[in-house]
Amino acid sequence: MNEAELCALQRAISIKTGGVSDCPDMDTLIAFADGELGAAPRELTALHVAQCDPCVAIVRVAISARQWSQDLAVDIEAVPGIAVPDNVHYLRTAATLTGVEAPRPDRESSRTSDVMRRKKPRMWWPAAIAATLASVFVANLALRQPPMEDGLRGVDPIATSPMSGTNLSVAPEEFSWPCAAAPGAASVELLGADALPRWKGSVRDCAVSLPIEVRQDLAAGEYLWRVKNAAGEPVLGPMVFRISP
Amino acid sequence: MPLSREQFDSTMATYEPRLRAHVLGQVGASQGLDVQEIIQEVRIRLWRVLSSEKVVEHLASYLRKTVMSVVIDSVRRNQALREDAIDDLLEHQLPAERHSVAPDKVVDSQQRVDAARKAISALPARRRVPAQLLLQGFNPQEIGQMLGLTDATARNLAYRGVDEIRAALRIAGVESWDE
Repeated sequence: MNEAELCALQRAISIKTGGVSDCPDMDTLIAFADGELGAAPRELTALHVAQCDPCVAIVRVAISARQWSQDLAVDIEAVPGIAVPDNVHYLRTAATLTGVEAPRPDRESSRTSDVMRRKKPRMWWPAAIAATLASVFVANLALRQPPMEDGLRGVDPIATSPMSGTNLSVAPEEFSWPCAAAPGAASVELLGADALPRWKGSVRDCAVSLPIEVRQDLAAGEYLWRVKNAAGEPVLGPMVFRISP
Repeated sequence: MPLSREQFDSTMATYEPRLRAHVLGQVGASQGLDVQEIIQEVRIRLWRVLSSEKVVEHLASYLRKTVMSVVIDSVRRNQALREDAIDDLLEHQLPAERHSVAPDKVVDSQQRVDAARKAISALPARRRVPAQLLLQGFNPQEIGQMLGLTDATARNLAYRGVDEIRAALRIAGVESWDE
């Protein structure tokens, strides 16, 4: 029996009618699609979705609409006249690329933290001594460690070139990274701060050269780059750099 | 400041085809939904909010929920219509048409469905849910994310589950439609 026939049988035994009112609510289905449910609700939701046709459709929309809504939000916020602070825009752009919800500025909490910062610790010296001892201990441990291979370091954006957060006077000639940090790397995508793709190149030996004509076209501003695998899924990044001549 | 009509139209001109193609394409067909109607409803709901002075926190999340609530409403309406149609069929049409379908075909189809239900329910839950999600059309990466598994584990469990369902159906004497 082939897979299409098995799929047809699965659909035949799925709940076709009358089930929607008993289905999990929208927020639960979104959290399920994003893998954000705890173990117990995830198990219950999975059991239901696996045999509920309407919920399969809704979860599928939740998955597909995730990137769509993030991209649309970035574009709406980039419309002139829509006041969004620069740092928030960048964070949201990064969030679009990483799939992680960007933090929002919270005036109330920043006021609170300002007040907290103004309070000086009365007994500062025990903390200072403890910090010094801790740093000596950590340095000692680090010196004892054998040199690590790239593969043991994990994903470290700082080890990329250009490093994330770098200010450059001209566009970089090459993007490179530790090979182990981006397994299956196949392409590099360069995006503007508006999250629109500017250039894409194929990877060779964990690096890719930026053609001179592209470099010449990059105006001053903020750019992001990320490494993708052959399936087009991001495997490293985004890393950000700024060109300010 | 709210979006102007021109700004809204030009932004949506880019995103509506994507919504139609990627977000609703397959779902609309499988659920019998009117994709154009959904897009119009999404457009109306977004315009109401984005053209107002209302401040939307977490805009991406809001946009996603707007699309989903329109789809859910549409699925519900569709379900209600299907139920009415089934009731209507049972009440009026089925008795007249009962004799037009060959009894052996009906029995064969029902046997297949029963055998599939039995084969699936016999699987351990760890493989049953990934296998069912795979047969529902999710890929191993999506299954892994939903179930909190690595891609490789999700792939392994789902395909092993499907193989076991296939083997159980073979033992039960359910063969391919072609055979």
